[in-house]
Amino acid sequence: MIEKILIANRGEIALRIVRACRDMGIGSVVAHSTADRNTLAVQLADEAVCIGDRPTEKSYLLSDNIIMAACLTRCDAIHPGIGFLSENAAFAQAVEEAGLVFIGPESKTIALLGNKVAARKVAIKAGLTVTPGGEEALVDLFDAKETAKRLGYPVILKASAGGGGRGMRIVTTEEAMERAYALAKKEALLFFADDRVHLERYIQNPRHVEVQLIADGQGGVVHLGERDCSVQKNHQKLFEESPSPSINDEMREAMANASVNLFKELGYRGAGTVEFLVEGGQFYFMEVNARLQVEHPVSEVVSSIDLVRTQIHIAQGGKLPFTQEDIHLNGYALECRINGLEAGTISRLRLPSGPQVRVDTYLEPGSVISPYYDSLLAKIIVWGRDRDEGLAIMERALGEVLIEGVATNLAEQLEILRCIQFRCGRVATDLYDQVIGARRTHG
Amino acid sequence: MKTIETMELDQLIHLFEESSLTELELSCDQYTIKMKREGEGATALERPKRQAVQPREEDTEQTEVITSPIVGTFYLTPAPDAPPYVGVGSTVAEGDVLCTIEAMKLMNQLEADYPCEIVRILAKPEQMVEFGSPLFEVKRV
Repeated sequence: MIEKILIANRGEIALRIVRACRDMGIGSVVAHSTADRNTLAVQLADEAVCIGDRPTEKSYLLSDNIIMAACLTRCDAIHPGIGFLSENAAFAQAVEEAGLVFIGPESKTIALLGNKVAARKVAIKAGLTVTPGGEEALVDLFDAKETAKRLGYPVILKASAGGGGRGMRIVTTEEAMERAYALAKKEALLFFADDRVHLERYIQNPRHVEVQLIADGQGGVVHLGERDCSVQKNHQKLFEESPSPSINDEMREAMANASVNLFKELGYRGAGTVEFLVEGGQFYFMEVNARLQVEHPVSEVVSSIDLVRTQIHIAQGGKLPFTQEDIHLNGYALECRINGLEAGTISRLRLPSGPQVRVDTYLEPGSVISPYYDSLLAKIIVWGRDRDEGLAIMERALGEVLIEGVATNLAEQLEILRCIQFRCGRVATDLYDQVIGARRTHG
Repeated sequence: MKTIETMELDQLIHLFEESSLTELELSCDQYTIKMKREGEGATALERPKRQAVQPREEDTEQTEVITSPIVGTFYLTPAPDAPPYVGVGSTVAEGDVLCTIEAMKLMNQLEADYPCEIVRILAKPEQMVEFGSPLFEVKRV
């Protein structure tokens, strides 16, 4: 049994995990950098250990300090949260070798899924449709040009070891390939320490839909429906909703079944997400996120399943405490991300509450927003019986938000929420540029 | 359930004050606490936790604090039965070993960056230190 967990993360997600620990009667230790000494997660955890200085590579990415902190505070397990070391197979393995439980998939699963070419091969084996191309990493520039010709432009160059929008280059013409190929390789090496890249046909303005799963690695695989995350800015999600307004029940079921099949093929253990691109009547496998995701509360709200709690239960060897038949997805949920646009100190703060509103945040008056970390300040999640009701509640909730001291994207988020395209659910990944970009152009 | 590990110090003091006890000693993995009534030695608390470093006033201007660069266990001696690397009053040269910090089954030797005299030892041997924990108060020589 797990009695104490070290949380190797910061911000709202560290706090989310501290809360799950408290609910389960499990001790919590937050490993933090010098910049995060006074954050809410550190205050509310049972214990805290400073693991390093402000830059992430000197604290949140220092495996040795994190594992040492877990051992010395007598933790049984490490929860990596989101980002940082959460999808680092070497870290997961080091945690296991230190005799601790890694709350997440097995290190070999993370390693396999971290290689996008290998992940696509498994997806194909499990019967999923992938975007055309990308069977192998490209050998050289000639190979890149020949492959692109076969697929038809536009194409996208992707880092084979990458993910999360980094190291991707869209190429529209053969003339642009030489430069793009060189840059993509350089970026891949820089971000992922692996310069292999591959090519896929580029789907223009797709919808981004993903399926949330939780599996116990002992045969139990359950999905909690899909999330539509099409509203993005530079590949970073802004709004996430469930169910998706843009797919029908037939595709919904096919997508969920395909995802369950993939997790069974992988023998997956833990929480994870299968991401798809949707274009026309077809959905294409993109990648698996082998961890918890920022937008997980959306699925928690519609399914009434606590994903972090279930992750911990599975990590200590438990079987899934529910089957697919026990899951009844109810109503509609929407999450809005409030991001900081600059570093600074929060001088005034008012967060929304009231019926059907959940706020996951680490903010409090006086919080210092550090330039070293992710810009996510707060997630506002609402529930409604249907989409219209949910959108109205979100508008009410966002109207209550007051954040002073640092500039945020709140006004832009309200504008997107109120725009006719979003209201109608006719949303593709270019919505932000259509709404916010268009306004800027027209002054 | 409330246990000594999860209780705050002020809660413990409050409980002691409310009780009819004249003396109380409690131990757990993290600390030992002794309380005595009638002001005979007030409260003693040992806890391997970060503490604000307050150099002695007369030394304020000349002393510096050497802090831990990693998370680990602090040792003043190279082996359990060996003499300590340094003690209060020792003078060390640049590159001399001050202590070892055990992390990931490795004994990491911390060396002095500059010649100095050890004024105070701020960390407790065999206790956990975190990044930035004060280890030594020193005076440059």
